[in-house]
Amino acid sequence: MSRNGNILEVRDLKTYFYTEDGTVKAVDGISFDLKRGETLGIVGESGSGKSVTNLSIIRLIPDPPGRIVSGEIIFDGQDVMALPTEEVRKIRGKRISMIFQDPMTSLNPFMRISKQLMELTRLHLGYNKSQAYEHAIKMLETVGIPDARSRVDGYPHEFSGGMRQRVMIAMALSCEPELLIADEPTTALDVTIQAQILELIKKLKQETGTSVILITHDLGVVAGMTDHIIVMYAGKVFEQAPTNELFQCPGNPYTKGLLRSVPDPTSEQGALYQIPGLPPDVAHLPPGCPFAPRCERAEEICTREFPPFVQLTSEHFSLCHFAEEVYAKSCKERDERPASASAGAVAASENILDI
Amino acid sequence: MSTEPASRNQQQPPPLELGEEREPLIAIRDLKVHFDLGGGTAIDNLLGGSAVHKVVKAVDGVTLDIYPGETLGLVGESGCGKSTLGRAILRLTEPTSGHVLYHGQDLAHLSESEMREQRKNLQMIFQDPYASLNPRMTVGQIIGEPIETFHSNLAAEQSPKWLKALGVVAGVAAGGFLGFKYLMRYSVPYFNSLNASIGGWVGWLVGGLVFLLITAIGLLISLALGYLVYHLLVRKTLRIGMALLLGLVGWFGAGAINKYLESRGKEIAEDLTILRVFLSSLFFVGGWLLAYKIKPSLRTFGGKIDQEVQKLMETVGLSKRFLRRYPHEFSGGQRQRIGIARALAVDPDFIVADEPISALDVSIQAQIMNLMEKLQRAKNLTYLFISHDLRAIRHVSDRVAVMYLGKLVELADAKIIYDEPLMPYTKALISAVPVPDPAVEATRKRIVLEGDVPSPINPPSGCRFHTRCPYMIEACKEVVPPLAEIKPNHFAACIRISPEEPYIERVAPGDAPGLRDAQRVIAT
Repeated sequence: MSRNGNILEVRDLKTYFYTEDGTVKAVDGISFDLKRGETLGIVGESGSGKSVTNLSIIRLIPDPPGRIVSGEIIFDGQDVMALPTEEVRKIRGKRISMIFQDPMTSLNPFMRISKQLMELTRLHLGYNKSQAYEHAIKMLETVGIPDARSRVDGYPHEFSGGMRQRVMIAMALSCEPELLIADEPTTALDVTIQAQILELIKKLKQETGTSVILITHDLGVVAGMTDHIIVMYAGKVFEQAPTNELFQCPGNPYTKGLLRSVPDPTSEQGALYQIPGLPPDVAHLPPGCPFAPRCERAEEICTREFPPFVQLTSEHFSLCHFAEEVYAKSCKERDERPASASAGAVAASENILDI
Repeated sequence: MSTEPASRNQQQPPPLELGEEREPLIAIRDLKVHFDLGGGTAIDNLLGGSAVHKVVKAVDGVTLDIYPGETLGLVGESGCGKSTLGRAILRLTEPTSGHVLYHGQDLAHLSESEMREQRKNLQMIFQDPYASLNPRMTVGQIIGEPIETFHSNLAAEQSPKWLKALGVVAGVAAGGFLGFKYLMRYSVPYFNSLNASIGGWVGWLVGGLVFLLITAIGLLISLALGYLVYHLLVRKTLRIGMALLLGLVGWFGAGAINKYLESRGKEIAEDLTILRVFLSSLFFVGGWLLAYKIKPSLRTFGGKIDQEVQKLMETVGLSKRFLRRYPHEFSGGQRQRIGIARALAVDPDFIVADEPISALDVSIQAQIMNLMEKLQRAKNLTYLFISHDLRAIRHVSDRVAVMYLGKLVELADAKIIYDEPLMPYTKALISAVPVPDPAVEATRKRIVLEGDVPSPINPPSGCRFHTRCPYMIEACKEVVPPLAEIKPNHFAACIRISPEEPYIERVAPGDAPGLRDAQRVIAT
């Protein structure tokens, strides 16, 4: 069906918002592939364009003020950009579905859970009422809601935050989508519930073979969940690499800073590294590299010329004038890192295994 | 910062004992915050309300010491009562019972005004920097407001009691003199004429009543004057003073005008009182408005508060240029800095930081945590750092307290509690934290707890965690586990562990070595 096993190919996507404040280049020329059955993590701070990227994929950009200016979004061999709205609707919710960050606001408070779940299967799979109802119960059971049959007719306010997020996942998975986009699925949840939801997504992914795009600002979440990671900043892809590679040998100063600014619960640290300054105003980007004003590696060229997208290994790219140098340095740091540190981490994990 | 807590921990007395060598800054004793949801009365039954009386036990008997200069991290899931505990310490939520001892005072039982005095030592940083700053005030006003309040309070505090008393006495005396003068002038002739015109005992009665009325008015005037003098001398509250002052000017001005007109041979104001009331109320309102107008300019004129504010802004890493800007012009991180500056404005020694970084981006979180640590060192602050982010808590805290459904379940040194949690809930909580390292994530196993946190309205009996605990035995449903010292300075609330058997994995199935201690505690 699709070329080279990719479920999704995004080529040079540009989504701009035309506001009074000027043109906001929320997504400015990003490209990536997602293989069938794989999980892609998109990491970035607020305003980096990670959510807009995914809204673009399912063509949900509010127009006006937003518009997909250019680019190709090829989903399973079809260019989503070229499809008429009716066709996109058939894909949305059925073949590509989304889980949003806030389960409190993405469920309709006036509709019973059953009705909200049945809507999808009746529309996309042509189920009749009783089929759809049974399917809704089955889905709630799949996502681990106890006593699903009696709870299916409840209203959203009768469910806790974690339960609502499970309902959202049940809804997203009820048509067995080929691609699941999870936009900050655990940000509003407590850690123990976050662990439940992440385990659930992992389990369902293994069972159904769905491809997943996981959008988050939490590097800890992507570390355990994804195969590939894209790091976004100011609407650009700053780094793109397989997960292990990205965490061990980051080739971009921004990724490096981000990794260092997360406190690691397994190790003792002194003062936390901080990236100075603030994320840029995307409507008024400085010339040259948008990260240059906050970058510790920045030189004169960075404020003048836009950096190249350097290929470091076959699957590792970095947007930086000094990508090779940063990459070499972090690989060297990894090799020099005392073996005891990672051994300690493993020992700690074994402790947890004991329980 | 990283090595300090361990060494400090060595000489640390057990936090649950008072009067040890290290005095706690804040000592919380059996603090409870219950929210009564009502229900259960006959009327409720009649109107279809709840048939049972419902009480949310948000904080249910917390005992905790916070030592000077430390950061105590308070973690727990949403709804566990950690924010309520933080707010109850500062009396932003009224505690139901218990004590919060601070410098020998019980904050939980202070009067409103006494607590207000204490608030300059005890401050709070709020979670949501968007909601906690007044959108209609400039940054200068937001940060300056506590200084201003503090200064007027300071003036009140610094002026000795005898001066206050003198102010009141002088005011009442002056008022009394004026009141008496006018009383004599108007009421006595009025009394006489009434008495004369009506005659008999009725005349005496009516005249007496009028006399009493006028006396009362005179007394009120003298009290008002006393209040004015007190304010002008002692509280320096500009607004009320200005208004009263101009009101008086109006009152006497009317007399002066009348006299002037009289001297020119024109009797214009037949009823002088009406003119007086009219002029004085006009001047009163005018004075009030004028005070409003000049108050901000007084501040910039003196410039003292602005200087203070600018100093504070620099301390927290904001540019001085932003003094006249409004909150909406700032990013989340900058707003949180404004919130911190506001808390620091009164030079407190204890700050409750309620989820101060949760609403911020990752790179900004690091900035705020570093700023708070820097300020702690510079100003010797003590923090209660409330967060659900265990990574942040681990990073900033010296000691960590874990809360579950209104109770503390574990308390220990930050490093120790992460490396070796004893209580099953803490174990699950810590194993649930995602680690930003794929290698670690691939090998480690999470303890995934079943279900959600139960409702605090009807918390489970016995150990509140028993409904989700993988190590639950029958006794857990009945016995409320006390927070016991399992290892030196490591407290945990679980009956299945004891100082002899601290590791729950090694305890024989069904055994509860902590039970003897628990029963002893419950018996008391």
